[in-house]
Amino acid sequence: MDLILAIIVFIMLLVSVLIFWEHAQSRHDQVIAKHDIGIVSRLAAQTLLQSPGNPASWEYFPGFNASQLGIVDSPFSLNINKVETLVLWNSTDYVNIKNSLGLQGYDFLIEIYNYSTSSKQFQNAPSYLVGKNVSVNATEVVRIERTLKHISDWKKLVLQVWK
Amino acid sequence: MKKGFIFTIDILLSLLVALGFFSGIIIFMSEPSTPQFSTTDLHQNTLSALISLEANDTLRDAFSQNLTPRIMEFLNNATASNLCFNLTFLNDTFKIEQNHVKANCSRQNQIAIARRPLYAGERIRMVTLEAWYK
Repeated sequence: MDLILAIIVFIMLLVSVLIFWEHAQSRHDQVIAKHDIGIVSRLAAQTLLQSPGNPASWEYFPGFNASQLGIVDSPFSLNINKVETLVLWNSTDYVNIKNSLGLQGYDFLIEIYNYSTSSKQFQNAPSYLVGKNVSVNATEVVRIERTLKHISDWKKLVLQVWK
Repeated sequence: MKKGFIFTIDILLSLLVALGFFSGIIIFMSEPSTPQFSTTDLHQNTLSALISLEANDTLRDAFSQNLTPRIMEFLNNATASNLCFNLTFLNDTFKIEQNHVKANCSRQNQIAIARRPLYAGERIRMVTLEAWYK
């Protein structure tokens, strides 16, 4: 009887270790993937919202020429002309925009929402859209939301990076 | 003496160890694999909220006018719903003049702080914004 019980205990331990090993491996892969998309998304948000870009007045050039894209005049102070230029370039220069944000290997969507002083909340539909809509088949999506200053008004930026 | 199914203390102990090991793995597997929120994100949100509050010179004017409705409107409606904020206005001797907390928020441990010195009423004042996840 001791032998039977010992075998049962041994099998339980063996199965536990196998389940644990399998789970640990898949968790490790998930963590690496999440970590990577999380880092690039935050860096992209930082690039967009902390500086006007390089050159600083890239929005006045005829075609896509920016080595770094920023949509603010100073940190978190939105320049709507830059957003409008990005909207114009989106159909022809999506890949260039994506690459200058450091999002190679991912897709992105930027949404800008206006604040309604009458309803005292951000509007439900975005006023500006840059990028591609998030695919229903996306396996990883990171969503970053920031409140921004725009002259005497507030705006909300939502950046979604997905794969 | 009549023998039971488990008749030695060794077996009982080994069963307990095996069950403990098995339960430990189940508990480990049921926990979330990554932290739900990011400290960097929280700090960036705090900075962006404080700068957004400068629209219309709200921060500077709040030292001389009652702008509580506008400040509370901002904290309650214009900031991310998963975040809490505590906005404090300090005078030139760093004493608290005003304090505004977002509705339905209770203090948590993980806090990010942003500070903004302002020149208002011919004196240097300070505004601090603390943020934490709900």
